[in-house]
This record gives sequence, structure tokens and C-alpha cells, in this order.
Amino acid sequence: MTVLVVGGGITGLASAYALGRAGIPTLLVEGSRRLGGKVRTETADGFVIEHGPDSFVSYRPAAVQLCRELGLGDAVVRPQEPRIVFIRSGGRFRRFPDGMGLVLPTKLRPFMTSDLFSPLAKLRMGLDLLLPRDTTEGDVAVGPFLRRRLGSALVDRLAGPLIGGVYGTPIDELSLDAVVPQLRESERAHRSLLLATLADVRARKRVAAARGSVENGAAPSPFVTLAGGTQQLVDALVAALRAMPHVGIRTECLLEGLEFDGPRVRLRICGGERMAPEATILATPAPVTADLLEPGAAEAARHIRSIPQGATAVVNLAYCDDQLPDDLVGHGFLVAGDEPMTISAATLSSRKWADRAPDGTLLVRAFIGDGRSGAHALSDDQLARAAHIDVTGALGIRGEPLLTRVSRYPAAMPHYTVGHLARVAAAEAALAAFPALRIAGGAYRGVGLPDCIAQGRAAAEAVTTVLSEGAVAVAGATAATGADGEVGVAEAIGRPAPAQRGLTLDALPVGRAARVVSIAGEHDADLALEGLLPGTAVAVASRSPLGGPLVVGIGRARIAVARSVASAVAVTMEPPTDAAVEIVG
Amino acid sequence: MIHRHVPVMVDGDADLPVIGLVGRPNVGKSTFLARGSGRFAETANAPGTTVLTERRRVEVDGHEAILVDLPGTRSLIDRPAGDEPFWRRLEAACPDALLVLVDAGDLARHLPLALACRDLGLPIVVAANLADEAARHGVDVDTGRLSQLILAPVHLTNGRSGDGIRAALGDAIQLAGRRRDVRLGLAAPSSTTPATIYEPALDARIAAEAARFSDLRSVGAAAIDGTGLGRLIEAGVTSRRGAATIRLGDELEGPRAGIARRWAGQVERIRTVREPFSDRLERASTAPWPGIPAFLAVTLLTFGAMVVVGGWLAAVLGNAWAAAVSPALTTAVGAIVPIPVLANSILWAIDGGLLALISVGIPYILTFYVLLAALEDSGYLTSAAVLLDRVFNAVGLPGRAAVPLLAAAGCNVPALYGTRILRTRRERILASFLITLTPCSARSAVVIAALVPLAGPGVALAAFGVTAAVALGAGFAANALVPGRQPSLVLEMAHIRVPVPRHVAQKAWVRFRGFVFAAAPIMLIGSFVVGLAWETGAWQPLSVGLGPVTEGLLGLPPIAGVAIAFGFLRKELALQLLIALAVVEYGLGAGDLGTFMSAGQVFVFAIVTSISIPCAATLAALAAELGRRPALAITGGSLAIALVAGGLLARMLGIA
Repeated sequence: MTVLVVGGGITGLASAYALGRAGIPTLLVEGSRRLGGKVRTETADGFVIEHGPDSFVSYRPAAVQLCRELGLGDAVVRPQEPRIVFIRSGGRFRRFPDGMGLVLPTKLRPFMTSDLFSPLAKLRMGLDLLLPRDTTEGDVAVGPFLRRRLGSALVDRLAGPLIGGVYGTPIDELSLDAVVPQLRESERAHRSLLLATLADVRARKRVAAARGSVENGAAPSPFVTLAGGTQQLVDALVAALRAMPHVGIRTECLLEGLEFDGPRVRLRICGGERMAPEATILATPAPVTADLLEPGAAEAARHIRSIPQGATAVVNLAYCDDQLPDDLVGHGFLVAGDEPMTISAATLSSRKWADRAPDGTLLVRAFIGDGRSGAHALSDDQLARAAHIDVTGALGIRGEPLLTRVSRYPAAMPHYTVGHLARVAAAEAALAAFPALRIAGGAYRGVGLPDCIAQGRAAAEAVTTVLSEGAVAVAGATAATGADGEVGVAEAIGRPAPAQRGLTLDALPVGRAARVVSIAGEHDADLALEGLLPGTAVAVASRSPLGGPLVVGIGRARIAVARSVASAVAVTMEPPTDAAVEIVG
Repeated sequence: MIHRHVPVMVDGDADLPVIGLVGRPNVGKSTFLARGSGRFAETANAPGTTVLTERRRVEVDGHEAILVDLPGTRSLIDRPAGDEPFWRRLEAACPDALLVLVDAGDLARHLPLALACRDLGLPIVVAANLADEAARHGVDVDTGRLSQLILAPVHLTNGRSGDGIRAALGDAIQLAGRRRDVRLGLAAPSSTTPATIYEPALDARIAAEAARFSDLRSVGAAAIDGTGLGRLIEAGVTSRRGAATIRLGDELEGPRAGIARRWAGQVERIRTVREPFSDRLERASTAPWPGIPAFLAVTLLTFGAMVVVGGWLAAVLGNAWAAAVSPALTTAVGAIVPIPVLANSILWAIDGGLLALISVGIPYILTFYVLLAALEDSGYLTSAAVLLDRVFNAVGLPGRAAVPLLAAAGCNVPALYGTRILRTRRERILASFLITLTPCSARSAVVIAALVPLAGPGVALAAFGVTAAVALGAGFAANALVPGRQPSLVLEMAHIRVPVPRHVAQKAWVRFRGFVFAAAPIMLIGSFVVGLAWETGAWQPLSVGLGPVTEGLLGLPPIAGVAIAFGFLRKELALQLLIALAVVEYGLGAGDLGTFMSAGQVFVFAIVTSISIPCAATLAALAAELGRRPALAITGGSLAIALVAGGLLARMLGIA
């Protein structure tokens, strides 16, 4: 056994899978009986009930990519149309404006005519056009940042439920750098967030024009899931791992402790059995990881403990169609911060996704985030009752639920509070002395399934590198000074999406980010020497006149490339930086 | 800079360990070398300025080594200096360790070269240079992690401030010393071979390739490998595996880039920072708007400044010379040399020749070099080159030929050496040809001095216009005639920075010194020969002999032919010589061009002078750089073009 992966959640499974695929002997240990961690789908009486996450974003490619690798490509499904989402605010439902981005509208008219904000609140948002830049360094919270630029109404009614809901953390504590760094970049580059959005919309239009396609209507939802529920991914992963002879899986096997011996790490598992793997990946929940690291890497443990963990809960409720009002439409609703409700959001799962409930029934998934005071002190029954009252009260559903499921996650939702990235970097730096020991999971660099999968793979890849080099100590090497950044690894792993047919570098609009897919012709060697290879992120900085060369930005460098050469470089456009994010619905 | 001797060995320190300085073009090796050794090598903020090998003695904490500055290269098999692959430079330098400079802000592109060096089996030290710029762009490098990954010491360095350089050098000296001891048999070699970083399949391929070098000793180096990689092994520069990685260089580029990208992701810490002003400037400088107007403004300002500053300096220096030096020289030479003809000829050389050097060289050429150095150091020149690439393409050159061509407006000689940055021989020949057609400051001075008083600045400008048109036309023709085709452009561009006065001054000075060394002997000897011909009257038969060309073809007075011919020796003298000859031939009244030549004749004379044959120094540089035959072909070509253009003009103006 070469590598030990601790934790059978999605991160650990993805790690083990990546290692197994690389042909590295691997053992995965999981303390509980079940693999998959928080990803759990229950099928009962024709209902497909999601106890944990119910979907994932497709613009972070790791999850979709993994699904494809596992042969689940066809099972990846998008929400049903039409996608209508509401915001519950002031005791009323208000339609989520069409063309709404993460924070700001990308279409003016639906936003201006929306009744979500008062005219005064809209005026306050317009003040963003005039407000100066904030030049203070360092991380800040998302809430105050947006309140300063766009006013409190936007934060309380829209951004708070949306971003706060995604991260299960009150928006006034969420780290701007960790969660929506593009907002800070927009302010730095354009000063005004509205102007930045405008510039981005224009850029997208140019791109659409360059592609020769007319983007009519809304872009497809960035959210996808698997037809049979997210656990399909876990099941496929487990099956793939079991099919690998050099990968072992042990459940109900707790890791009792780590022993640190120089840069090497030994472990005790399952009642005292000792192991000395060449590398270890800790894909355990952050508090567990911190406890494991305490004996030999107290510094790292301290930093990991400083990442707060909040409670969340999911209540699934089912009703008969005859209990519903006639006019029930949409995929669900978000609850604004000023609304007296226990739940943070509700998804009409069986309306949003196909085949989630038997005919004649409705499956509702209520989410209770950490901002809901007192909710997590309730008993399961009380919480289920509170969710039922909120859902039925808001939607006008009569009577009792057919089915109730409560899934609770106390102290399991990492809060990306201000300074999060620095904490993670500090923890990783403190672990730099143990190159063969890696941490990964939702507590560090992204909470969603794609982020967890990407981190799991990155850890596997890092471990592979270390193993292949035996890199432990180097004569004359300087001590690790800065913090270790895993930034970019996930990116390096995410394989480029299939190319837009025929898009080549010379046709790429100026300023648009893209990734090289392939290079044809005789210039590949020369381009490779300049760092332009398949997988490289590129952008066209300018075009010289008279059909002259393109100036292509690669990282910090600028490369002049003749158009004839550029036309042999097939590229695919990257998703725009502030991709519209939707939650529930 | 004029490089007359290829590697300059310092003090013959044969047993000092040798450190090779390796890095991609424009990563700051020369500045690094200057900081490390306390002396300056020519740098330009343009890729590929170091075209010859510099060796410097360096010392850190009492340990000494020789630091060899190798040309900037993108890989070991790249051909930075045209014909030879880079690894042959390694064979020549025979380093005990390599100091690999990488751009701290651009590791993904720079690490592959470091990986290739690591594959050689030599100890390496990585200097993550330009750390200040990286930090300004929000990139911090975890050197500790990087050194774990690459298994070599990694230092953050900053060539401009000198931070980290001594630490990096110290490590390199130590590693090189240890290796040197092994090489000299003073220490046992360590048995550890570097762990592979490649996929097993690729690794097996490398091993198989390495096995082909195994019976090296019995077969002999050259026999086993036509490329001479065997000699590299025999010289102890690399292992068999290292030689195999060189031979498989093309195949390894992709995997290395993949590893580099992955490692860069692991060691870079990205902060969001506001886009630096220089980045915005870079974008603007290559965009048609405002790039093109900006280029025109910069060009006009440069030449304007050269004319104004140069003119003023020339007047000041000329007057000072005439007042202080000239009388003393005349007296001294008259006293020492008894034969008047010889004494006068010597005075032509040391009085007239030196004056020319001082009153043309310092004001125009030095000023021009300072401006050019500032433009180069700012990084603007590559932006302009890319902007104008299509224009240069028309004459078969890449945009980067803008640098030597611009330099040619100062003096052709350093411009010819500058053509080494061009990749193919074809480009070098075409560029050299265009350079000889470009009026240098001495020739421009003739055009200005002849035409401005007589016909006004507009006509002088027109003369330059004709010259440019002739050069462009000749360039078109040469592009069509010289066999081969132009490779497609793929070029890394320099970053725009505020020029550092120290760099600018030193670079301008190094170039100017090169000009003085090249031009001074020619000017002195040329002046002497011209003086001798003058004093002995030997010019008169020459005048008669050139008659058919001068009078028949160009419609000029016979003495003009002599002035043009002597221009081969002293270009800037052509005008004064013409007037002096006229005074002798036509009497004192001919002290002014207008008295014996029409405006049309002066125009033709100016054109022919400015594009005709290159001066002797240029011819020598051409021969040294391209070989005798191309040099003669180019000289003949430009002479023919000058005569044809002059003849056509003369007919158009109705003077012949």
C-alpha cells in the first residue's frame, strides 16, 4: 500500500479514484459504514430524496468531468424549463428578475421593472456609478462590501439569500476573497460594479457575435444533477474503485491517530493496526483533520480549527397534488433576510428535476442555513414541523405532509469567513514540512461538489508528484516561507471543455479568456517553447494592423503570434469570470 | 557592442568552478551578471541581446567561481544565436553547475527550461528573478515548496535591486565547487541520480535513448552521434541520460510544460491586485489605437531630440576643438614631421579625423544610443516591432528587425552586429542589406548640411523620403530575389518598464565604446589616405577616371565622384571634401555648393552619398558577420542601387 486516503466522502473518493487511475496502490478508510459522506440520496416509494447536496454547477468542470469518466455522462440532467424562482420578502413572493447575475442584473429592463426593490433602493444601487474605489488591502466580508457599493436592500433581499444560501453562512461574515473574488477585481478594474457588469455584457455580446451565433433567451442553467440523484456519482465511484485490484476500501475503520516521525507519517487504524504509507491524504471533516494533526502539526491543526463550522439542515417534505393550490408555479423560493421564517430556501424538487416523485405528488426540499437563529436548537420533529409550516404557509399548501425526512449536519458546514484563504494557506504552509501529507475537502477551497472533487484530485496529483520524486528534503533548499497555494491546481486538472467548433485563436475577441484545445500544423514546437500548449489559458491582448500579428497574453507574458500561426490554434472560450449563479428553483 | 574576441577568458582561472547562467531571453541574465560580478554586460529589454558568451569571475564569502553568461534560450535545443543549438554553448562553457533564471511571475513558462537543465544531471540553482514585478502583479512564490519539487535550491532574486543574488550565487558556487572536486577526482561522486519526473513510458524511452550512448568510450564520441552529443558527455557536462533528454528535447517539451504548469499552480500564491499601469500601457502600445499615433510620436521625438541635442553638442565640441586642440596639433605635427606632405596628411588624420569622431560621434551617435537604450530598456521597442510587423514582412523581415534597423540610423556597424537577434541567415542577409541602405547619422549629416542651406528643410526631408523609398523598394526586390521564405512570427514580448538610468547609460556607453573602437582606426587611416591623396594630388586622375560615371550617369561635376569615392573611407567628410575640391578646381569663389552645383545636382549628390557604398567599417562588419561573398554582394548591390537611383533622378531633374 502506497497511499492512504482517510475519509470516504466525495473528496476522499475522488482522491482514491485519481490515485487508482494513476496505478498507485491505495487504501481508502472510512469511519462509518456508508461511503459518500454528505452525499446521500434515498429512494423510497417512488421519491428520490436528496439528504445532502441536490445539484452542482457545471461551469466548474471537475464534477461533470468525473461523471463523464465514470460513464454517467448521459445521466447528467439540467433543470426542467421554465426556470422561475421567487424571493420571499415582506410576506410576498417576488419574481427573481430575469437575467440576474450573482449580484447584479445583466439585463436592465427586467431588473428595473422588478418589484423586488423599491425605486429608492434602485436609486441607491445607481450610486455605485459614482462611488470611489475602496483601496483598502486585505479580505473583507461580502455583505459590507456590497452594502457600501449597492445599498442594504440588495444585500438583504437578493445577495444575502443567494450567496449566503449557497455558502450556508451569513453574508456579513462571508469572505469576499474566498467566495466572490471577481467582485473585488471588478471594483479594482472598473471602479463601479455596474460598469463592470455592463462591460462584461458587452464582451459577451461581442463573443456571441464572433461566434456567429445569436444567444437568444437565457443561458442554460449552470446547475445540473444526476438523474438518479447525486448518490449515483458515489455509487459509480465506489464501483470503479472496487474494480481496481490495487485499491482497497475499508469502511467502519476509524483512523485512531497519526504519528509523526520527521517528514514521514505513520498511522494507527481500526483498533491499533499500524501503517506507514508513503503518502496520506486527509479528506476528513476539518475538525477531525485538526484533531488528527494535533500531535505532530499543532500549528496546522490550529489554523484548521480556526475555520468555523456551522450547522445546516435539510428537510424533505412530500405532498399530494390535491393539497396544492392551483396556481403553484416555479422551482422554489429564497427567503430574504428580513423574513420571519425558519427555512432559508425551498426547492420544489419534483418540479425542478424530472422523475423525482410519483405522479400526483410534490416533493419539497427545505434548506435551513446557519443564519436562522434558534433553528438548530430544535429537535428533529420540531424542525420538520417548522419547515412544514413555512413551506405550506408560503405556498398555500393544505394539510399534512405525506412524507418527512430530516437530515441534520451540526458543525459540518465550513464557514468561509473573512480571512478564509489566509487561514487555509497558513494551514497548508504549516504542513509543508510533510510533503507526503495532504489535506483536502470542502472546508478549504470550495464547498461545492466540483470543488471537493477538484481538491481531491489535486491532492492525489500532488501526492503522485511527491511519490515519483521522493521529494522530502533538499540540500541547500530554503525553508518554506510563504504559504502554499493550491490555487491553479484544480484549474490544471479541469480538462478543457469540448471546443466550440472551429474557434481558433485568431478569431478570438480581444480581451476574452480562452483555453488552448489543440495546435495543428508545423508551429506546435515553436509555440510550445513560448509556453503555448494544449491546456494553456490565453487571451488576445491586441491585434496589429494590416493583418499583423496578435499579441496573446499567457499568464504574465505577452507573445506576438502571426495570424497564420494563430489560425492553427484551436481554442475554447472559458466561462465568463462572474458566471451567473443561481440557487434553488 | 562590438565583440571582437569570442569568449574572453578572465585571468586564466582554469581550476575555478564554472557556473553557467541559463534563462529564457529577457529574464534579466545580463543584469543579474552585472549585479553578481559588479560589472556591466550589454542588456536590452528586448529578447536576445546577449549574443556572445561573457565570462566573469565572481566571489561570495571567499569562494570564487567563473560565471558564464549564456545566450537567452527557450530550450536546450533552441538556436538562440542562429545556427548552433544552445547545448553546444554548454559544451564550450563546460559548466560545473547551472544557475537557471526564471521569471517569478511566469513560472509556468519558465520552469520547463529549468527542468531541462535538471535533466542534464548537473547541479542547478533556480533564481526566481523579477520577484518585484511578480509581487506587483500579485504573484508570490513559495520558494520552499518549489525547491522541494525541483530538488534544487530556489531563491527569489531581483536583478534591479540585487536582492537575493548573492545568496543564489553562493549556493551555485558551493554546488559547482563540489562538482568540480568530483571532476578533478578530489571527491567521490555522489551516487544519487535525480528522480525522474516523467511518466514511466517516457522514462523508458529516455533510458533506451541513453543506452545508445553507453559504448561511447569504445566507439568514439563523434562516431556514435553525428550531432556531437557524445562530446558533451565526454566533457562531463551531462550524463548519458542527460544527453538522451537533449536528443528527445522536442518530445519532452510537452510533458515538461505540463509539469511546470502543475508546479506553478502549487507554488504560486495569487493575490488580487489592481492591474498595474504598465500592463495597461503594454496593451495600449500594441493596439492600433493609440499604438500607431504613439509610435509616430515616439519616432519623431527621438529624431527631433537627436537633431536638436546633437546639433547643439556638435557646435559646442567643434568650436572647442578648433579653439583649443587644432592649433596645438598643427604646431606639434609641423615640428615633429619634417616633410610637409606627410605632416599635412597626418594632420588630416589626427586633427580632421579625430574632430570628426568627436563632433559626429559624440553628439549624434552617443545621443542616439542613449535614446535607443532608453527605448529598449523601457521595453517599448518590441511593442513597436509587433505593431509594425506587417511593414517589415513586406521586406522579408520580422518586426523585431526594427531594433537593428533603428540602430542603423545611428551607425551601421553596431546595427549589423545587432542582426544576430534574427533567427535565420536569410533574415540576417536581408536586414544587413537594408541596414547598409539606411543612412547613418554621418550620412544624414551630409544630406542635411548639403541640402538645408541650399534648398531648405523640405527638400532635405524629400531626400530622406527618396532614400526610404529606394531602401523599401530594394528590400522588396531582395525579399523576392534571396531564396527561402520568412518564418512565421512567434515572439515573446518585453514588458514595459520605467527605464533605469544606470542601464541606459551603461548600455549606451558600451555601444558607443564599440563604435569608437570600430570607427576610430578607419577614420584615422581613412583620413590619412584621403589626406595623402589630397596633398599629393593623386585625386585628380581618380576624378578623370570616374568621369563617365560622375558626369555621364549622374550629371555631377567630376570632383563629386572623388568625394563620393572617398566617402568609402570617411562618409561624413564627403561634403567638406567636395567643397574643398571645388575650391582647388574652380577657385576661391567655390566656397559654397551653390556656386558650382545646381540644387538638382546637390540633391542627386546627397542621395547617392547616402545610399551608395557602405563605409569601410561597415564593409568590415559585414564580412565578419556574414562572410566575404555576401558582404561584397551587398556592397555591390547598394552601389548599383545608388547609381541607378542617382542616374534616374538626374534624368528626371534634367541634369544629365
